[in-house]
Amino acid sequence: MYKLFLCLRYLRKRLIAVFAMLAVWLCVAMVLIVMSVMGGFLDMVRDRSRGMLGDLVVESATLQGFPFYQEFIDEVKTRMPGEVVEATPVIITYGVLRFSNSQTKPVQVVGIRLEETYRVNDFKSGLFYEKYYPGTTRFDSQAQPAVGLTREGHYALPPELEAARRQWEATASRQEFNDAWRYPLFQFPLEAKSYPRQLNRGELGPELRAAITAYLPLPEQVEVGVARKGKKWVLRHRFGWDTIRLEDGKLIIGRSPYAGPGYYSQPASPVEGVEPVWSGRPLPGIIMGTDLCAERLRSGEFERVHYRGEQVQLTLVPFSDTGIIERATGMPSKLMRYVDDCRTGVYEIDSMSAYVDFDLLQDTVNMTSYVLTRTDEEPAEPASAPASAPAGPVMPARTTQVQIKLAPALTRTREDIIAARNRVHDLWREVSERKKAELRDAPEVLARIEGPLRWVRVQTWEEKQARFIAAVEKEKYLVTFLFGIISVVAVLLVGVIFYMIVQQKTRDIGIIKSVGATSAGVAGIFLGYGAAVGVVGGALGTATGALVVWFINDIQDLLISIGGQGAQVWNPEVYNFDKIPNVVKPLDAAGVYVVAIAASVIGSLLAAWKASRVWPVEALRYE
Amino acid sequence: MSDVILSASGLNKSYQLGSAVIRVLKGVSISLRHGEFVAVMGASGSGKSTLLHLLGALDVPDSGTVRFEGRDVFAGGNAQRDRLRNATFGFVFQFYHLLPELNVLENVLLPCMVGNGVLAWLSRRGELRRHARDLLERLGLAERLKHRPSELSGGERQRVAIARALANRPPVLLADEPTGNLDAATGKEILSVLKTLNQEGQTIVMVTHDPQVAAAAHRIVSLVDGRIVTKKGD
Repeated sequence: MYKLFLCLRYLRKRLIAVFAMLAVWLCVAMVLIVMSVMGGFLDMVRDRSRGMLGDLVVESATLQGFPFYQEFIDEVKTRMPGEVVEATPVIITYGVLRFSNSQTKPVQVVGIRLEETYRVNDFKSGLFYEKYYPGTTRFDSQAQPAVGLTREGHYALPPELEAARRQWEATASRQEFNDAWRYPLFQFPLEAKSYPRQLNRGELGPELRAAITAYLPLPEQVEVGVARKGKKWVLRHRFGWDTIRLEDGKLIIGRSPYAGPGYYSQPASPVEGVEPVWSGRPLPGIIMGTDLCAERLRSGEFERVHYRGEQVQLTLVPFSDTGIIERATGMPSKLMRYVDDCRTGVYEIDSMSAYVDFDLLQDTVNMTSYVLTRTDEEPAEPASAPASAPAGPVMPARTTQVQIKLAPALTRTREDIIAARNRVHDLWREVSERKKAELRDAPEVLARIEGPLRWVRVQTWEEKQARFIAAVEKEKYLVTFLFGIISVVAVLLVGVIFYMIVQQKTRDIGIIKSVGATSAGVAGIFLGYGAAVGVVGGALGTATGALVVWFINDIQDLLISIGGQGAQVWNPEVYNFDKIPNVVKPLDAAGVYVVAIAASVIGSLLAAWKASRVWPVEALRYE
Repeated sequence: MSDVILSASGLNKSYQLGSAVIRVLKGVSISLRHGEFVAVMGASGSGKSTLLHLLGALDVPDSGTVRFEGRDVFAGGNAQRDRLRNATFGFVFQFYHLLPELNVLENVLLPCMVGNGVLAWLSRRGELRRHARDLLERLGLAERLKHRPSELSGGERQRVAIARALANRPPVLLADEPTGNLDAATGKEILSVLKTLNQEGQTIVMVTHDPQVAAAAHRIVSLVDGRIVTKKGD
């Protein structure tokens, strides 16, 4: 009993123990924060890498791609049915994207088969419009949807989109629903009760006019006037018109009379009703990286600056199978419609990527099969060329990647994935060797595909991203190690403080022993004391660390609001992710806590040992 | 012979002091009967405190034995000595030796806490507290239970120390110069406390260099140069 009692009493009565606790507290918080942020960063890197790739990637280390992919895909699906869930070819090439406002941007063009890609990786979960209008993101030819007034006087999209949206609404949670409707441009509190009355009269009072012009980005260009349509007020200005809504004492000026998620083109005037329509000529769809076509607000949300279905022009660079940039075809250029945007969360991907239909891209960059004319050496004819010369051998179609999704049972451990990769690799060998053997009679073809085939590799998603992941992994270990070393200082501090306490308390230890306490018991007091410092300091540290990690983005926002943009520690462009990882793993927290207690006990070992060695007669001899 | 509660025979004890070995006790034998009040007298350095420490199992002799109710005190190793110090011997020191972080009541309860595990303590707490309070009341400290040692006078502190020594109802009370740090009047007061306790049947061994203090005992044993030389009233 005395051990517990004295240990608690010393904890309460000795200020110095508070310092020991403080040291443990801070170190635990520090280590936990570092572990969580770095660990979270690592997990994000891994998740996103995997999300973009599928489990296995068959890839040629050259842009002109490799042949026999379809034969391989068919074979892998039929011969490994329990293991391979889906396999899909992907073409990666480069091009230039021109927006309707004549802005141009370089892009990595990714040719995918949409439905297959949905099954292979997490691409679908990153799509914006597909989420709110399920099933409407397609690559086939389509016109642009525009908001209009229905006969009943509601603002709406064409029926197909409205039906899709209702489908989403039926399944959406309240939170998702609220998030989706968060697109008002300007908000300000109403202070005077007279505003609704003013608006009802169809006029803006001077205060409201001033408030609106202060909030709009180009006040002098805003010719404010107010119109009423049904139960809605509309703010007219030079760019068109905005809705005005009153909500919870706030005036909300929306960007579009259509308040659903997304950004759609709107009719020229709100007053003259226009039916919702599909307008413009049908063009194939293109999905863009979100950072390519939307602006990131400081809040982390995206402000879309292009209407859905807007026309863009994609210019591509075709390579021949020997890696020559095609001269005959020049630079193929395609008009397309922006149907959706995809956010993987990796800034480098989202600011650079445009996704188009696999077959369309393959055809545009001349990667389809074609007949090799024996006389023509370098500039090869595309397959679409006159089929009147069946004389030559057929060059097989090419892709740059095949992504494979494995059965979940095969992806639990790294060893399982690697074993699956080896089986897939063997199969690829077999298929490619067999196909090459079939081409014995066409040495020209063999000569052309030799190189690309040699460069084909089968990798797991982890191997493909190994350099990046390993770098982050090492960084995590290094930083945790460094902070761990700093924490050793805390252990030493506990040791020194306890040693001092024992030194000061030699006489008291003698007293306790003189009334019958054993040496082990006295040592126990100090070990318990150390454990108590660890338990309390560690708990406070774990709590502090967890709180800091949970609110780390708010803390950064606060720093930014105090110190300006210079205080931004986490730059989304540098770190690829727009938010600092803020998840504390229970196992990490428990681990740090246990280590903190153990370290405190270890720190008190020397002191405990010294206390146990106190010889009561010696200790009590002098006052 | 069954009347003898504590006996020592042929106790030798020496200390290393730098390179010199000082023989403090040279074959001391002594025996105490139940309810006896014995004073051990001697000049400074005569070994009287050392004798008391050996009698109370606080220290180990180089040779010789101490027997409590016929059992060898040093035969059972550290664990037995710890138990004896806790339940059989109560110590009162010249400098009180109270724990400054604990209040009066807690100081008195310390031996009880040492003697009882957490569960035993929780089940017996009330009873032990009552006993400690009774002791302190009898020693005139009823108003001081929650005070810290630093808030007490010397005499009060020594009375707390006596109460602590008696907390586990030890058969033998060992007092090392209990009045040595007190003025004459307070010293007398403490002495009368000891006398009263003895009259109630408490066996007491008291070490002192002061003949007047020693006079309170039934019997005086004098130590000179590590040997017992005279005995009064035996």
